[in-house]
Amino acid sequence: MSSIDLALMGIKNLFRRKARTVLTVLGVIIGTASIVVMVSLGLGMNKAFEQQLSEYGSLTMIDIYANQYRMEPVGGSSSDGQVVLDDSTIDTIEALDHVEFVIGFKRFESKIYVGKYESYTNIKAVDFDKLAQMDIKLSEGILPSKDGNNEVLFGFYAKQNFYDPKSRNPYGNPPVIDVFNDKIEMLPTSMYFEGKRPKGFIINPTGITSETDYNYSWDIFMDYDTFLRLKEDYDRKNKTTSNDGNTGKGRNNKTPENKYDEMKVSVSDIKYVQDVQDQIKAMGFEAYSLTDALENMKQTSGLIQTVLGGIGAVSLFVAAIGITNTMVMSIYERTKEIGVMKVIGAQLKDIKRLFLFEAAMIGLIGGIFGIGISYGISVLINSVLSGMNGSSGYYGPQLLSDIPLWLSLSGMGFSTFIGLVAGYYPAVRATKLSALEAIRTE
Amino acid sequence: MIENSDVSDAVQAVQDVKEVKDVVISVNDLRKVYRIGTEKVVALNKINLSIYRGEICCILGTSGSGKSTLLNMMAGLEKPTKGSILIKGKAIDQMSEKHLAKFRQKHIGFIFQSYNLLSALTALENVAMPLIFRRIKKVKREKIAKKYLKLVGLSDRYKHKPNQMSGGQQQRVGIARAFVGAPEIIFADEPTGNLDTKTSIEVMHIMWKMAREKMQTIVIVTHDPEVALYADKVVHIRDGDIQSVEQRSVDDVYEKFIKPYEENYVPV
Repeated sequence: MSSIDLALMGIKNLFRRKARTVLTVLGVIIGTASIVVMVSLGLGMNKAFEQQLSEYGSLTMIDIYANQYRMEPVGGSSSDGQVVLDDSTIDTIEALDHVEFVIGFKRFESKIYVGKYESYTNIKAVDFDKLAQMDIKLSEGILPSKDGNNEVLFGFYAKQNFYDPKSRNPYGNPPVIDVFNDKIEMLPTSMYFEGKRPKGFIINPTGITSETDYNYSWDIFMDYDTFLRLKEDYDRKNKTTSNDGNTGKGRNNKTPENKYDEMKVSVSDIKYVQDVQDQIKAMGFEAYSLTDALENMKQTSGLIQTVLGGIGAVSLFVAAIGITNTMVMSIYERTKEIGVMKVIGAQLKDIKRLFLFEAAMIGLIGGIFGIGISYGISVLINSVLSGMNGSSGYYGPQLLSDIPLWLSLSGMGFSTFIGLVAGYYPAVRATKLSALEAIRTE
Repeated sequence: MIENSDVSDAVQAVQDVKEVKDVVISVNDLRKVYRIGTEKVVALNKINLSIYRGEICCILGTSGSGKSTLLNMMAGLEKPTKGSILIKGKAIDQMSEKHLAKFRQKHIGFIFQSYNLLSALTALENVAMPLIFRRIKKVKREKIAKKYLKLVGLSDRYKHKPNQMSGGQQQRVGIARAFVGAPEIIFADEPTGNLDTKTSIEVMHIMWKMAREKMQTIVIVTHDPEVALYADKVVHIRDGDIQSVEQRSVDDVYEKFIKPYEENYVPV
């Protein structure tokens, strides 16, 4: 029996039992759709992770933090004490392959005054020349420069921290600060002043960072040297020693002090990140990159995908049983027909192939419609859920369910395969029917 | 319809063949015992039978005589308890299901009492069915099927489904289907069992002429002595034993039944 004749006969047979075929196909549709939608949710989650991570920062950045809380230095070369984050470290790391540049940050507690409002906002001291190399998104203005007069870069949320200390409800009604035009005074200290406060320094914001970039949206950035100059000036005038325990130069300390508490290493390509990170760790630093998080997230989402896919697989399994049931019923119904076919010259393999084909067709048709429905559900999920947090959300419109081409193709392939597997037992059974019994059935 | 001169040629040919005893089916010491619960029922006791090429052999017996069992075993649908059946020299009782299927496809046609047409298919598709299994292309097999439908006088019924046809018409489709692959042997199990006398005669007539044309062997199982009139060998079977074998001349059959029928032929 040629394949074309077999296919035509099989399709005809399916058509003859429309109601049952449709019901069985429906089972496969539900099974396929649930498995595909579940996997698509997992894939969408992956995509969302990546999107989210890229908002947290560049994937080619490695963060190094000062390990000040660590009692014992780790690593082989720890004989001469703790490793520190200073300019020599920057030089060492910049000498590594694939490293573009290294930038250091130091956080200083400070108070900012605008009119009657004040705020405790950290100043992050950084080399402005290097900051210019960073790909910092701005919502307004331009990046500050070293040469300007106390120029700073304002974090998007830093301007929201202000409150009126004299108000009965200081945080109830956050003021609107015009960063560019209001007079902003900065005190490099976190001390609380009852009544009169010392005179601070006027700072001039030139830009505001983007609200989506969390790394740069909470602090005020100032050039390292400029800030130190101001701080020394302030300390001298007010005769305060640094009692915040968070100062820059520890001249009195015997052990080397961290000049920076945070460093960022820019790597030329994402594929070198792990390598560079390992080298930095080998030096004894605590190094983190988003590739770590990405790996973790991917592992988590892989697990979730497996669980979700498993739930979908259960319904496809039920559908497979449905196919087997339908085919077995079909054999009972067609016992005579099969017998006649055998007697008038059908080969055993013809009968087997015919039943396998019919079962596979149920799988394939179910798969095709299942994929179609999955796309529909996917669009629905995305539109409903992104509508919930989309326009106002910080993440922007997210893909919650994603069906790539490979998923729809393998979905169809899988459902066809399930059909074949489910049809195997009935097909073998059909070939074993005794032709004589088959003809006798009246 | 076949020309009369062709038929007499065919008759001559049959006789020639019989001279050299070209045995097509050889049944040797065949025994079949059924077990029903603890009881044994002997369906066939010890059957010996030879059927020659081109013969129209009728196995005549009442119901329960074992005639259908004999036919089923000759067609390879049942295995004998003892003895053997050779068809064209091959022991079909030894064949596997797979080989039997191949053998049937090549050499055997089958006509059933209840026609057994596939109800979803048209007359043409039903007749073309055996050719599908032989992997013959659609255009070609429909051409052949049409030819056979014409031979059985149903050239106006190609597109009809079985339930749109009378019993006689359905059986003629069944005959066309049995002959379409030009098998050497055709088994017919009570082919007129569901038909009235007039239609029975018509059906027997068609079978007789088609078989004679290509020197095909027909084995008919029936309880109807009128059907046996068309055979040139009649095997009387009773309680699992052959009672007698009646041999007739093909000419006699032709003169007595075929010729008069044709002369008075009125298409149904």
